[in-house]
Amino acid sequence: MKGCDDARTWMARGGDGSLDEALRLALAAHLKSCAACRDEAAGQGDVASVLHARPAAAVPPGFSARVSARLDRGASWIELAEWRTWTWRLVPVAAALFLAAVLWSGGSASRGQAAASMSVALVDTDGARAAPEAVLWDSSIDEGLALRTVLTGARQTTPGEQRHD
Amino acid sequence: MTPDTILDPDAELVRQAAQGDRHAFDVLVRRYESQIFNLARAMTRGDDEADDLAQEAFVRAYRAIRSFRGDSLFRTWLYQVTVNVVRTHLSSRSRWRRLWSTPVEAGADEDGDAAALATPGFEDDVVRRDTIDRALAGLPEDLRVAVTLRDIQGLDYREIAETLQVPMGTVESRIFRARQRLRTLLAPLLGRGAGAPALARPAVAAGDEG
Repeated sequence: MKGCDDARTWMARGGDGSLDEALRLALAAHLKSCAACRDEAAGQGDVASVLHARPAAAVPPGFSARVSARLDRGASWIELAEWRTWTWRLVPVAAALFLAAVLWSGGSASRGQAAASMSVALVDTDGARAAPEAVLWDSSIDEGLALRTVLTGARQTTPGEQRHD
Repeated sequence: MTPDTILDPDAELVRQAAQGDRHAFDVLVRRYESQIFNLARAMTRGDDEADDLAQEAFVRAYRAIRSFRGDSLFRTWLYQVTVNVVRTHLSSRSRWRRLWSTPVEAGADEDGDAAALATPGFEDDVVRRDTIDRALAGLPEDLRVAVTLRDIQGLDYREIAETLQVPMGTVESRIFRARQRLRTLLAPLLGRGAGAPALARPAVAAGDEG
């Protein structure tokens, strides 16, 4: 031990009983020979005793109920303020929107492909191989024309339709 | 002892509370309400103020409980939350008071301390507690918190270091200096309390045994 400074450090640490045996003995030896540190140690112990014996204040009645009420009351605001909460809650909505978008774009593509096929069928010079039911998908074709095509199996053309054969 | 070896008696309740189990958190509130309220009271001196701050500490703890990783005891973490809540409050109150208080008010407070010490029925718990709290209030905040956690709340030095997020040596130093100052501030109690059980004396004065 170097002196009173070390002794005072160890007095504090000794408060937890965490001094090893060698230091504890060294401190004891110093306290025996140093009245100032002995007085300091006594004072430290006295203050600690008084504080430890401080009468605890009674918790105000209904304390836990008030905490609970605050948690209930604050839940909506707290959760709104917590972006992780509401972003997670939006996941199903986002998934539904994504699915709808995929279905919509897929449907559009299918319709586009059908229209393209139909267009090819209409310009096909071989009337016997034309698929009449495909004509029904073409909204630009007159209903009567479509019906005649289906019933007769012969491809009909509208007046404005260009023939490529 | 490393944190890994600590068996936290609150671990299961904390786990349930982190999953949103309010009942589990209510149990934790009831388990620690006295400690947290008394810590806030020792740091602020006012029942109403301490009530509000202790509530706030629990509310914040609940909000943040998912972030508690078990690196320390739940109790230590809860104390840390409470100290932060009270410190923030004291800091803002201090700024407010600097704007409005006068030296006359500060002097009146000291007169109040003296009057309390001279009050008949001095042994009464309320007066005794108030005297201690007034003495604590006379300390700088860092010393007050450290000595409160150690000598009133009973935390060990390692827990205090974790709570305040300072090295152990700093904790030891703060507690030592706090007790030195309190020896003067609590002189009337120390003089009268010579016969009180020396709860901390055996540890502090361990060397006397050798």
